[in-house]
Amino acid sequence: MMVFMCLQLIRSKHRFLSRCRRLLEILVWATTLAALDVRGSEDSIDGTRPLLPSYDNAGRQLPPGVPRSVDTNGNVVYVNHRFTTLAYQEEALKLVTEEANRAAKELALPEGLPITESNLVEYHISPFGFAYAYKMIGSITTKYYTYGVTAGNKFNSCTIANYDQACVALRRQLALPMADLNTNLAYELATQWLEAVQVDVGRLNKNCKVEIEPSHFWNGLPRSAQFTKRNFVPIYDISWLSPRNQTEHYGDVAFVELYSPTEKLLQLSVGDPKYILRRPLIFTNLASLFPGVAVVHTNYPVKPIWIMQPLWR
Amino acid sequence: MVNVNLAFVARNNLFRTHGEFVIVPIPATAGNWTFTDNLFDEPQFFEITSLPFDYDYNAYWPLPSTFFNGDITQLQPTSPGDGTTNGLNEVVLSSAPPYASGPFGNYYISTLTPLYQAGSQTAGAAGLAQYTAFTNEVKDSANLPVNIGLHYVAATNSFPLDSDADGIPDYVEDANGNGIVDPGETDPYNPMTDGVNPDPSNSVYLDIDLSGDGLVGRVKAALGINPLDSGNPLVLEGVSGPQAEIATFEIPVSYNIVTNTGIAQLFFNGVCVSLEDITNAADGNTLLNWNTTYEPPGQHFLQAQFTLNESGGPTSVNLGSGPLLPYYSDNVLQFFESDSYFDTNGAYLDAQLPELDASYVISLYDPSTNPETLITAITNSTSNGMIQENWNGTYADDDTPFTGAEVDAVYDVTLLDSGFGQSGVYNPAKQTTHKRHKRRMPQLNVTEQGNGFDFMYVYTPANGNFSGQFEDYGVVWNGLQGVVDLLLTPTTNPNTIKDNYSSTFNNYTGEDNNNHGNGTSEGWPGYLTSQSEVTNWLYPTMANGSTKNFFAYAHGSGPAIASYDDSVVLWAPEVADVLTNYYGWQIISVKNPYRFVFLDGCSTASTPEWRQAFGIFPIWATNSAARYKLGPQAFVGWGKDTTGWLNPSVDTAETENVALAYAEALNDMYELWLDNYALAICIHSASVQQPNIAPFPVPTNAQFYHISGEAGVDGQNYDYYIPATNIVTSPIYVIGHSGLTRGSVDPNYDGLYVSPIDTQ
Repeated sequence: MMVFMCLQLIRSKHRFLSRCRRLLEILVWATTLAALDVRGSEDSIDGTRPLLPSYDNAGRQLPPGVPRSVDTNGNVVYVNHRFTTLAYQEEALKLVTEEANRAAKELALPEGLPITESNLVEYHISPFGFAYAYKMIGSITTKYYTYGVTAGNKFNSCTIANYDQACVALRRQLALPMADLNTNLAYELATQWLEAVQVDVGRLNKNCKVEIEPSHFWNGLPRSAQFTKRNFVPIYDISWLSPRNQTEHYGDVAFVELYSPTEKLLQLSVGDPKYILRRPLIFTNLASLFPGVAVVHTNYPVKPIWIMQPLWR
Repeated sequence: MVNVNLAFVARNNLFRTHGEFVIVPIPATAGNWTFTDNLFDEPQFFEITSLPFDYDYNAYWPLPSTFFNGDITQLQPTSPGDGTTNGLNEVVLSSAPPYASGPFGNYYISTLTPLYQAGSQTAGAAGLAQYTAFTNEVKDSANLPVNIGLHYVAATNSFPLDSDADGIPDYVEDANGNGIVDPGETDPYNPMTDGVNPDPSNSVYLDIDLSGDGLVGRVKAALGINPLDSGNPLVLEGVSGPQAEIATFEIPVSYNIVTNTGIAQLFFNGVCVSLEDITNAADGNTLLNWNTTYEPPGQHFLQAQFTLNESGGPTSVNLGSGPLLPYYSDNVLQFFESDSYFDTNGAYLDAQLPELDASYVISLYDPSTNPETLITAITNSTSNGMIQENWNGTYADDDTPFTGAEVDAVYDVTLLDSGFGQSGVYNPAKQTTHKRHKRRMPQLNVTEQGNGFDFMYVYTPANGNFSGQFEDYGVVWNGLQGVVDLLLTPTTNPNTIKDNYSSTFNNYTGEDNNNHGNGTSEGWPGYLTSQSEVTNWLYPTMANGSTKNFFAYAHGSGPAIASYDDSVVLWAPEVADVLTNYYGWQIISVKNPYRFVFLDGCSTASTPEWRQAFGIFPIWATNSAARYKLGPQAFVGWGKDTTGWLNPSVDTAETENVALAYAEALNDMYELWLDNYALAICIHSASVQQPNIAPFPVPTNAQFYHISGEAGVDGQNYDYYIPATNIVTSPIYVIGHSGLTRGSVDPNYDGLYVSPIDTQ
């Protein structure tokens, strides 16, 4: 009988603790359900950060000729990404070309200056709706380089034209003994170029880890492989990696690739516009590019319509 | 922690708890949790009665009072307000359930009890008309109340009951268990339900494996095998011996049948091997020849797989696999595809070794002479496990160029601290091992560079209800024409040529010389409706040498993309022929490599066939020593099946909105691409839920619904797509460089979306 009573006591205590634990779990569930953002995490795929539209329109008032959707507070929530006008496309091309001229001069690139529309090989100007949402205006390509204004409406990238062919040729051209590895020179060149186009290198260095190494790809090595070869192709990659980049092992804040023997810039990019001190391109005549008064929708989410999977196979 | 919002129904279960049975019925939009027709054997319930919960027609064999202390022994009514009345028909047993063992378990009921025909619905409605609860194996009557508690498949002589002796058990023939012969079922009491074919050959079993050997009916029919035959013929039998460099396996299936009805493949550790060829054995069977030197040495498993030519629709099962075959490769090196040829500048002679220290001689021979003539030889050693040598394209005098079409590179390798003996068994005594491997390399002068971009799509819905949206000026047409315009429309200055890309297949809106649409300037988004259009319009431009970029929206599989009814089919081997990208087991000859390909169709990245057809090389082989002669490339495809956003079976404003929103996702992806962002960022951004975008059906979008804004001008609605219901999702893979950009490659974005077939 005594044994039975002890067992009952143990059972009761066990039940009490078990119930406390379960009630706690229920509370956690309830809290989690309430707090869940139904949009899901923006950085849930492979850990890199997606580029998403930002309709923060502080200081970016839209002219009346741009159709848009606004929320009940009047904030822009959507502009059709394909919306544009010919006048806007032409004005954007003019501004990007002017900015490319400035950048080419600052970088002292072997470029045929001035760059004009007539000597462009190719260009891409994003439609206004997309450009407004992503703060990417577009890029132009000459015989020598591609110049991009694709981060925060600022000049942020420069890539040698026909990059693939150029690097294939450089790879074939020369391999240096590992003793000639000179990461200091590579870093010096990279920072000179970045500073020349008003990138805040000091802030980059403060916030990011700098990695300098010969290009793995152009040296035929996997990304994570150690450099143990006797010779190397002197194409250097200089990367500024944020703590997030370092944790995830992907992405960069700024990246420069160069060929050291001729001090040739192969590519330069700064993904985060806060490190770019130069002014964003500004359309002083935006209203004239979008004449008239467009429809403004004051829409907001209403009840969900369920999409049943069998309709979609 | 996950957000679960599912309907939960428990019925006809046996709960033998002998302890706490905790019920916390989390509210779900799909309805209240429901418990009916269950038998609870000695339970102690802990139930939160403030949450909505439905129960009825359950039975209880209560816990003896000496074993509980104030616990409740039955389910309790929940607080008013959940809309139901609970527990009016519960059954409490006065004696223990008379359990007995049977062929499939130990909880059959041996005698009649109050559980008999006491359930909440008929056995047919419960889907249990072909099941029993009793040891006498008598089925529940379809039209009478179901017995409460657990059921087993009705059996005879310990096998599932087959009343009409047609080889198919009753519970399989009446698949939904309602006791009625429904469409898609056969009659358990009639061996020839359709009056023509024996039931095993009835078309309802085309996608069913009736014999349990892994092959469904349509595959067996193609291979000429009885659907009930359990002898899987896709068995690999080694012909060449286990240690051969060129391994040959025979599968006991007719070569003619295999090649006329589908394609046979060899899988290596679950991944289709790159270098394999199919030939006809002397006895008419099929031989799979495999160059083992392009896979890592060591212990592996091989498997034969057969895929049918005819798809039978997007939900059909078109392939079957044989059993696994253990395989040990004692190769001492591994070659890679990306340096598998030479050009006027010579070749990279790279290989990966299993150990760090080795000495080697690489001898290059001209195979056009008999015997082969030595061109030159390179002698060296390595201490890092990699062979990386350059051949400058000349004879041994370093001056006279070699002008032949092919070279045989013979590697004589001696492992200096070897762990491998010729037996293939690791030897801790560190024997020195020597082995010779040969690879044949063609001379090619090729590039992946080119400004051409072809864009195509086909009709994918399961019926014709959405056809108007795929055709001229439908939402799918318009949406995808927008993407084509983005890619192809030249600049505003008509006097200069400044296209982003160009195409002789597609037309941008306003382009003259439109050969495919109904007018001269309406644009042509690449909507293909017949095989002749593929042959006459698409293939010539794909093969023109300057087209190096490609997009397709279609149903997909490992080796094919197609329209729903197969009126348009692109086979990877056929595309490889068109592009002259040949993968043989003796030689790789990629004459037209592409730079950037996205095949937006199910399972297009499940095997190497598509990326091989486009001449796109993998780069993520473990410790790869391979160097490229090409620049960076990328192939994007889906790992598995997905729900396609352009495939609705009904044409409504809702489905049109979603189709348009998917075109917007593609549009945004290619906008970012044209703005020189890395491919990984482009894919990632198109995979995120945001206004007016139907994102890629990647696993994070497994649940998804659409909040529609108020009616407005097209494109100006505030439409939002956020998680809610069941979507078929898949990983999206990049083979090659996920850091590829429009104009270069950012290595810091490489290594994302890596496919298993890219990592051998």
